[in-house]
Amino acid sequence: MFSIFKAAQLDLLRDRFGLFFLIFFPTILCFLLGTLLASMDNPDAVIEPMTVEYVVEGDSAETQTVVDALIEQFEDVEGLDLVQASSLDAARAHLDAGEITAAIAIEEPFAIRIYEGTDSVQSRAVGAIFTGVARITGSYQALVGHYEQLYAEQYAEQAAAAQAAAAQMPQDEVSGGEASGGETVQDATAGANTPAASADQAAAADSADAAIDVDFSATSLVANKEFGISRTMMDYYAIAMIVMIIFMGGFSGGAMTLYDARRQGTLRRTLASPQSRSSIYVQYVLSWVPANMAQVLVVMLVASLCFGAQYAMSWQDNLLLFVMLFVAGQATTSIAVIIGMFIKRANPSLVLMPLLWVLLFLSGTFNKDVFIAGFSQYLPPYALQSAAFDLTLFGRQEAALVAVAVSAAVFALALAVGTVLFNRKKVA
Amino acid sequence: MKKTLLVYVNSLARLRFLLVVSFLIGLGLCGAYLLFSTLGGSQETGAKAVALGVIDMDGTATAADLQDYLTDELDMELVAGDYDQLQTELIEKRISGIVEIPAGFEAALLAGRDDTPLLVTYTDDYANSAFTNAYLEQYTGSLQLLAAAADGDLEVYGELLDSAREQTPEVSVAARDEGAAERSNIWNGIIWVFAMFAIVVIILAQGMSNLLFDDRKAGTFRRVQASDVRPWQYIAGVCLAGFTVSLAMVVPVIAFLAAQGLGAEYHLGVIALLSLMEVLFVVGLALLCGLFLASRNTITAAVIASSTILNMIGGAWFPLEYAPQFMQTLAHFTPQYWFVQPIYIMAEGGSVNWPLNTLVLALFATLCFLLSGIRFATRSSQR
Repeated sequence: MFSIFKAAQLDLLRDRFGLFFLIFFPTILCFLLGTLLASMDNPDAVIEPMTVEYVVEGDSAETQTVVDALIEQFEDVEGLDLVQASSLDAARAHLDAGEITAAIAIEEPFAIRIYEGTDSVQSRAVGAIFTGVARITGSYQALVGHYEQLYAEQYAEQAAAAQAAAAQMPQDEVSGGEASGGETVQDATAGANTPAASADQAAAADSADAAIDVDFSATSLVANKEFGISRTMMDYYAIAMIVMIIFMGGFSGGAMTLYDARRQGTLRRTLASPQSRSSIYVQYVLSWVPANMAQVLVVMLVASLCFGAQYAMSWQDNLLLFVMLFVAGQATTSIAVIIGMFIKRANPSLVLMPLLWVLLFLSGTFNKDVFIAGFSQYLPPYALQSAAFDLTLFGRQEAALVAVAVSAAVFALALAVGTVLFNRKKVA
Repeated sequence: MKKTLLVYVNSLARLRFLLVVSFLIGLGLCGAYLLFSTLGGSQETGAKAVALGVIDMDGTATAADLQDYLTDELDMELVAGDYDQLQTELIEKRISGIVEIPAGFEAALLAGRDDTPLLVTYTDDYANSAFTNAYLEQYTGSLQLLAAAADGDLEVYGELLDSAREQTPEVSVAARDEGAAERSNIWNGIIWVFAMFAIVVIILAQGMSNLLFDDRKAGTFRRVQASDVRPWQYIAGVCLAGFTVSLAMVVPVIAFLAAQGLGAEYHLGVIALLSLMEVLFVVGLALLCGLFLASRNTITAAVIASSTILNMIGGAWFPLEYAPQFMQTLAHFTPQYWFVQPIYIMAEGGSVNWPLNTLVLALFATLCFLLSGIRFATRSSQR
């Protein structure tokens, strides 16, 4: 009864290149990709000393004051040299020649325009510095306004109090006498009548300066939280290459099953045997079970033992991972055998391979940076990879269990549909 | 010549399905160019390149202001979600970090306490994490100033926060070259298309290998020798057919790019020439596989293995700058290196010694044809 199944295993064992492709090829790819891209996991940028030229566009005293404060602030900053340029065009010429890191135009009303250089890391550093400057400037202006208002309210209160006191004083004391507070009533009244804008702006600015000067660096409000999870390129491709071989190898091999049998004439002879067509078909599909198991197992073992790839943390999760990938492999093979039933003239692997390649490419199997939001996550290879990573990185089993259930259902359905079609269709 | 043409036409007829598939893939590559030139490489500078996940458990004006600061002033993209979802986004590097605004953040800030800080989680995205931390430190530093001035008064603090936001000077960034982003996108599209071409063209050459293999097994070679068709005419005819099938993929792409107006600036002529040489090598490789290998499955395995491994090592899958030094050296021994690397170099504005690259590719092709010729001659003499 299992003659076809046994014959398929013998064929596979005799086909050295077929074995290589199914089992060792994904392992080699895993090693190559994990090694080729290992350096992507490492930090690689150092910020060199920067020279920034600036111009002040406009001539208001207020802007100049801010600029002077800015220059003073950066005088002591190591690694940053602020130099005034003769003009914006000159600064941009120096920038284009690569002589400076960036050019800054300080515009009126106070705004900063940055002209970036070619070094993206240094450009980001300049942007970060001046974004911080802008934020502090905004806070400073807010504080100045706040203290101005405070002093204005203070003076208004004092004036109101002085007026109230004056209203209670005898008339001759109002005209020139001293108020009990040590200042003349006129002084107090005059002070109260001074508009808030001129009510000691210097004092407001001093208060704001004092507030800015407080060092908060010892009390940071940003705490880094340990992620505790890392995934190297080897870890990524240890999963991705299994998914690749499931789809490419499974579809290609499955589709070639009946095609090869037809070309070699064995299909005709098998159909002429006493075995039922259903049994024949089921054996053809199930003949891929050992190969599917082997390819997943070999890649997992070799990648983890020889290349240092990390799969799941517990043996139970690793077992679930193996089962998920194996059942998915069987599902793809069972669909591919049906496809092979219909492609009689052309080589099915040639027809399917480009499509599979595109499918895997858009799923990020070859390059994890390939991800099209709203599309890639619905592709089967991506879903499988995602479920695998959920399991191996986070220990979340839900997606893997769903993948097993869906794959098993697809396999069962494809087997049933394929059996019906095989019984009815002229396949030889 | 006539007999070669006869074999060519006959072979092309047998490969007609593949010819159509190749042409359709060429059209697909044109679409891929449009896709990848639109998606673009990462030319975003500053904070624009950063996406962050945010979990707001505070829900206060400060939390809202922080998010406005990150999006409006720093042009970052914020992604909402629960911690599990954001963990997945983080490990896939679709976000650079997760910022958690804990409950009581604003209250602690107003009280002058630092026991309820923002919690930021990064993975190994070092540059982005360093800059994001700097932005957040600057921002929270300004909040501390405002909170200290408010002296615990929530209403005053709110007014100060609004005022600070309104009075923060605008910081804008002028791109170094307005056309740079567009040029970068175009080169990104070109790199993707020709890298994909390098990978797929070998797979399609399998058709030619299978044709030769079938003729070997069916005895067509012997019948050819018995006829007045010379062996070299037969091989030339089959190779020309394989050449045509591969060209059917790349010619539409070159024509499309030329129609897009990509001319001298993008060195389309050099790319076309290198593509032609690559096709020549692929035909030679297909000839080798068809004459040397023992079964169709073996041919399939060899074609897929060479397509992936040669292209991987040669730099078609990823820029070689990420590879260890020994692999960068090894890459020189693959034809794909001499095809793809010039495109990367031209994309970065460098100059390329295209005659050298053309010559090396031609040498690789010649080697394949030579080995095939020896094999063919050996088999013929054995009969």
